[in-house]
Amino acid sequence: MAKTTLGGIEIEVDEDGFIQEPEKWNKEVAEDLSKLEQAFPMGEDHWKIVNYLRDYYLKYEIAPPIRMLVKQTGIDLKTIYQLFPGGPAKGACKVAGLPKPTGCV
Amino acid sequence: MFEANTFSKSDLGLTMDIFLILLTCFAYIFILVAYSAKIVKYARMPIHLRWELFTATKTEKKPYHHGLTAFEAQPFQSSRWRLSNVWSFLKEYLWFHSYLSHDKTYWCFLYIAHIGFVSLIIFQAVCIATALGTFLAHDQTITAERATGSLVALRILLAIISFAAGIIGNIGLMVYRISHRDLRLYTPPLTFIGYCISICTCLIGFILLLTNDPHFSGYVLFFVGMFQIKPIAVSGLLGLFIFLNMLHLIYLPFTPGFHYVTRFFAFFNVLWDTRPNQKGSPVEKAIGQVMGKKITWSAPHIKSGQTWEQAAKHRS
Amino acid sequence: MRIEDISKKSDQIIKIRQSDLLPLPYPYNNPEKDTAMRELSSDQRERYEASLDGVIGVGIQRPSSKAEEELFIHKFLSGLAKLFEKENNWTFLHPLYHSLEYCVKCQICNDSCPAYIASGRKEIYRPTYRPEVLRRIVDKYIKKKNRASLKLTGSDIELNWTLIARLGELAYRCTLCRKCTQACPLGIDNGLISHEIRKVFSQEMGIAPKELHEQGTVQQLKVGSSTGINPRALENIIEFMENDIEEKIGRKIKIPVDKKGAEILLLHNAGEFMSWPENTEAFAIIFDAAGIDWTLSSETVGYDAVNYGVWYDDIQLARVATRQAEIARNLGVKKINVGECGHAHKAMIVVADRVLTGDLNIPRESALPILRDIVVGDKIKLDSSRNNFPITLHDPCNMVRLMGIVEPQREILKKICPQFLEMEPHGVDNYCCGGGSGFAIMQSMNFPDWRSAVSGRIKLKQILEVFQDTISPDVKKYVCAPCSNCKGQIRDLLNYYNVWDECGIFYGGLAELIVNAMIDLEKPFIEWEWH
Ligand code: SF4
Ligand code: SF4
Repeated sequence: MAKTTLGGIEIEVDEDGFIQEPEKWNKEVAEDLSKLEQAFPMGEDHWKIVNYLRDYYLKYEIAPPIRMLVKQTGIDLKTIYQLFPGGPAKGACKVAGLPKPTGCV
Repeated sequence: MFEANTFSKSDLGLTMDIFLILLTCFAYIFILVAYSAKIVKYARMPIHLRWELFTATKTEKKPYHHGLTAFEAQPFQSSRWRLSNVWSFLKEYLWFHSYLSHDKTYWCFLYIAHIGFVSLIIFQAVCIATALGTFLAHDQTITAERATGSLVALRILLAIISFAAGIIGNIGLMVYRISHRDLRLYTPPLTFIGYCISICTCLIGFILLLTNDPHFSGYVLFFVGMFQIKPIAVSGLLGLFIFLNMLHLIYLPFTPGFHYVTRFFAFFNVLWDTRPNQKGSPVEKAIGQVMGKKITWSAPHIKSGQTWEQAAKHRS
Repeated sequence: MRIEDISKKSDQIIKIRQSDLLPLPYPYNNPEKDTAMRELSSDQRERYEASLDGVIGVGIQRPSSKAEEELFIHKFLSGLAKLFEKENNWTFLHPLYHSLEYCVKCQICNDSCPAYIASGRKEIYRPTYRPEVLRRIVDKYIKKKNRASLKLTGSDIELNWTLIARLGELAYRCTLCRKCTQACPLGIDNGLISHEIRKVFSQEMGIAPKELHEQGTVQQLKVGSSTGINPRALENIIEFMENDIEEKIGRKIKIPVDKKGAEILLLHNAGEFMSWPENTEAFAIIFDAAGIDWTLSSETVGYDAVNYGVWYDDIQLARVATRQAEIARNLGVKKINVGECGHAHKAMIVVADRVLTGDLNIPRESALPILRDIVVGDKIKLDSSRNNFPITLHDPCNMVRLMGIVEPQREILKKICPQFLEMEPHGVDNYCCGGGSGFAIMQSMNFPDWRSAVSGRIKLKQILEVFQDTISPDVKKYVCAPCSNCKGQIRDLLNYYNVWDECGIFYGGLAELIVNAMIDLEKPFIEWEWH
């Protein structure tokens, strides 16, 4: 595991850049992550997605199904890919400070 | 041409003859013991975690079943002994079906070499049977004519087939294995030694047939001498023939050649093992036994010393 | 290269070059359309063993001291010895012995291997390469044969850290598709050798890809699912599915959960809930319409059919299977049916049959024949013209080659898809999707690139070939893969090569196609925008 500096603080990240200490996540961290994900600068829709993911994660300790994300935010998959070129799982979840999705997903 | 009198040879010759008899006895006993041990080993293998239901798939293009329990409810379709399984197994035995459809040249040499090998065995059996007959006749005045007996034509035919096929097949295989990189890379020296032994045996056999002993009577007499525990002299060339032949027998258990038998277990007891785990069945009993065995795997998520049964219920 | 080169220190044994790879049909016969694999960073190379093929699947860390290095070698050997003990490895002892001792190295099996063929026949991927290396190690270090017989049997090999680490990675370059086993006239199982090497690493050395172990079986047993879905999240997702169903079909359906004494406990791969809820929704719609008495479970492990243990660890396999069976027993269901997940089919239905005894031995079957009976028996009204687009079928190795479930899915497709096309080869002779044995879920570093560029390439070739007549992106086409793992792999393949934009090829499950053909639906159930 490597340490890196995001948003001015030191955070542990995994091999693929997902942060391993979700409690350290904040806006600045997210913005720095978004630079790595070619999602900078973050606009309203970026934040809408990130905040939704974040809230869901805090409630259920897991990322929501992609279909749910699309439905609840009203932002379709194509737009999500435009906002986060890495896609909802590898891009948006990373910026939102969620762990990397696991299992057969 | 042949000496029926066993005592007219030099001491060295006698030692040679005795050595050959001992070697022959050893070779036969060795191969018997080695192969029996292997059969016992494979027949007594513990029950395994059945990894698949290969039964339908290896043999048929369009099997159909409803999943395990419903499949098992159709004993005719689910039996590992069903005709299609046996047939696909025999196809490999009788004409090496997979080799034939994969690579015709390789198949050709392989098949010829096997014809040579099988006829060599039958040839030996015929010689030994003839010798046994002679020996049991309690005839002290063994002559070459007697020993040549009535099976002589068959004997010669088998000898010609086996020597010719042995030479062509083994040389072919050797050249093929050397000239193809993917085969050469994976062929151990022992295999090439085996080819050489076979080729030499067959060559010498041929020379014997053409010069020294056209009826192979000397060979039969050798076995007669063995049975009466009174060596009958053999010529140098025949001695060499016997020596190489026995060497080949001793060599066999060190090669994968015994797959002819172990593959039977591999197909019927492993790949096609459809025996269901039904209440009160021998399979259930066997599972109970192995699940009671203690494991000593030592990774952190395993508690060494637990039985399989305990480990399966242990989920920390 | 020679076989023993695996222990010689070098930068990388092989290099995967774009130009060596299996050629693809139109439009990918144009090299510009092909995608190059990502290289590892130098930092990753430094920390992990990557000198096999420049790819990291397991992520074996370099030792930090001599002592650590020696312990690694020692552990490997002690684990290897345990593979040959009845107590520790009754599970696969018989095929292991047979496969190590009786292969005649005729190489008939070679052409079956998706990784070997697609890589341009790289020696290390040859199905017989791993077994040959292992045989040599066993001869020299376990059976301790003398020098002469080692020479005679060609068992030249030098055991060191590098070899073991490379072998560990190499065990994860075989998808356990077992097409090579099917080809072997002697019943030798080269896939099994990969599996046994993985077991030594996991069961003795504590090393496995984290997606399979930590985040896989361990997380499943602890949290409930390898996806991380806990029972609370499941409840939320089921609610979402019920609302989604209502929106799609205009009718509310109650998804039965923990219904005691139901006829069927349906086990879905929990990845479906996360990534393809339309599949689990489709099952609910079909079962509801056909009046089937079924239930899901909300117990941890009871809502995730997966059993990654089947790929790398016998003990984890037994744990997951036992837990799933306990849940079914406690619910008092008549039988368990497994949804569209290949490895779960095999693990729960076939393999677990040698683990579960007594009251845990509950009848276990595939869900495909139920779907088949509903469709073929006209239990629900279907209109095949609603599926009027080119469709091909991928055969998941586990349920087709290795279990013989070949026909139910075909009978369904033939009835409801007028443009159904078979790819070649298909049925029990299929090629693996390239994502088997856990690959589809191994998402770290450049492994996903490898499984798209190499192990999955032959599947892409088959898919493109079967659709050549309608290859233009204007015609929407569908690859039906009744297995979550295969679906994940095919999704990644299609993305990697940008196939949707280039050729208009989409993918999905089987149940969705059935619902899509239901006549009382107002709008199509399949939504193509999820490519
Ligand atoms: S596994 Fe079978 S087909 Fe492959 S080389 Fe060995 S014997 Fe031949
Ligand atoms: S099991 Fe499949 S992937 Fe593995 S070696 Fe055999 S053919 Fe190749």
